[in-house]
Amino acid sequence: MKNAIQKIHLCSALVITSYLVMYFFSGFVLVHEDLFPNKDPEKTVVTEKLSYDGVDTPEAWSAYIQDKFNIHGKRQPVRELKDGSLRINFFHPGYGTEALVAPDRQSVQITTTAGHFRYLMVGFHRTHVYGAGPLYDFWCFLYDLASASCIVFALTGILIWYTARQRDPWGWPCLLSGFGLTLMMCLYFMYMP
Amino acid sequence: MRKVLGKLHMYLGLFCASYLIVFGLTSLNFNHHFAFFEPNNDKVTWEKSITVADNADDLKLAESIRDALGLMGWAPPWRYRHDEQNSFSFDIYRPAKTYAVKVNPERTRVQVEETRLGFMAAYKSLHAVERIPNSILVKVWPVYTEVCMFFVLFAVASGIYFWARSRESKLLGWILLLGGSGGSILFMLFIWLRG
Repeated sequence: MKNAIQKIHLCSALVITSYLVMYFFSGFVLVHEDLFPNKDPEKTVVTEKLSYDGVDTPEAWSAYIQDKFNIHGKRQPVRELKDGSLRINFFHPGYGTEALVAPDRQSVQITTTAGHFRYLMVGFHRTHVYGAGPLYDFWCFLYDLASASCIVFALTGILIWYTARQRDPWGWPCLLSGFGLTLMMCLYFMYMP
Repeated sequence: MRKVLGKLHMYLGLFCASYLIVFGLTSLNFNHHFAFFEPNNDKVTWEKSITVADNADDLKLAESIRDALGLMGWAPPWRYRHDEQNSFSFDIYRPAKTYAVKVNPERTRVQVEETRLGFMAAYKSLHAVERIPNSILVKVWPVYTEVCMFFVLFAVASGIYFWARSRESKLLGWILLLGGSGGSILFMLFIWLRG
């Protein structure tokens, strides 16, 4: 039994190691933004003519613009602005593209933003939610796998220690202090004014 | 050396187990929006007399009212409202609770609608809670998450070291490491450069 648990602990770690490190490191970058230089992202702006005669829905426009101008990235929800223009955003870690379709739908202004290291890390950390095509769905699947593996590491690690707890009695204070702190924070948020 | 690393791996792992579960569950929730993470909506209304100086700066006014009420949380400017009688309303946000605050034109009496979001809302906020105005205790949590972050990096390195030093066959391990983690790195590069 213990061997099987150890195998699960090890194998899940070997599979998901780099993804997990990326999440924890990019989380560190998010929290400690001041440690990482904030260079202005590089922007390029181009204006192109349009001749679209397809379905006039925000989703159709988004797909058309992405396809026609070979824009990479995950499609974001389209916003119709007060003047009638459409703002369509595409995002992938390190890059952002905004397409502003004119109210008469005859032209589009495309602004591409290429960010630096911090922008890339934040992008990696915050790319989630299924439904943006197979590539990003696979990204989300790995994200889920890394998240689930955190739970697996914790539970299998506790089980491995528990089977030999007589040899390592200091495990109790370590385990209880972590869970105790978590519970205390929850109660603090719930009951303190 | 190996024994010391093993003990560190185990004890720090036990200490960080709770955060790994918090991180795992809340991260899964970003993709799947579990029903059990849905916040409660228990509302309680209360009133209190306060003494605050009226201030033309809404931000300072909101913060002084929040401080006079002894509440912790953020009072974001986009939630400030003045009505015709010059009553001032704003909201306070913090993990597990929100407050809709309305102060009378004389700035002496406050009516508060408190929404209690429940245990799971508090639990969800632990994914990345940092600083909260008027809260001292919350500063403990970022220290814990930081320890856990460094532990994960250490656990990966020490775990691979233990595996490399073990006498068992390594074929399956190499397949998993290169296929899973190596493949993940290539996929990240692909997403970055061509995604």
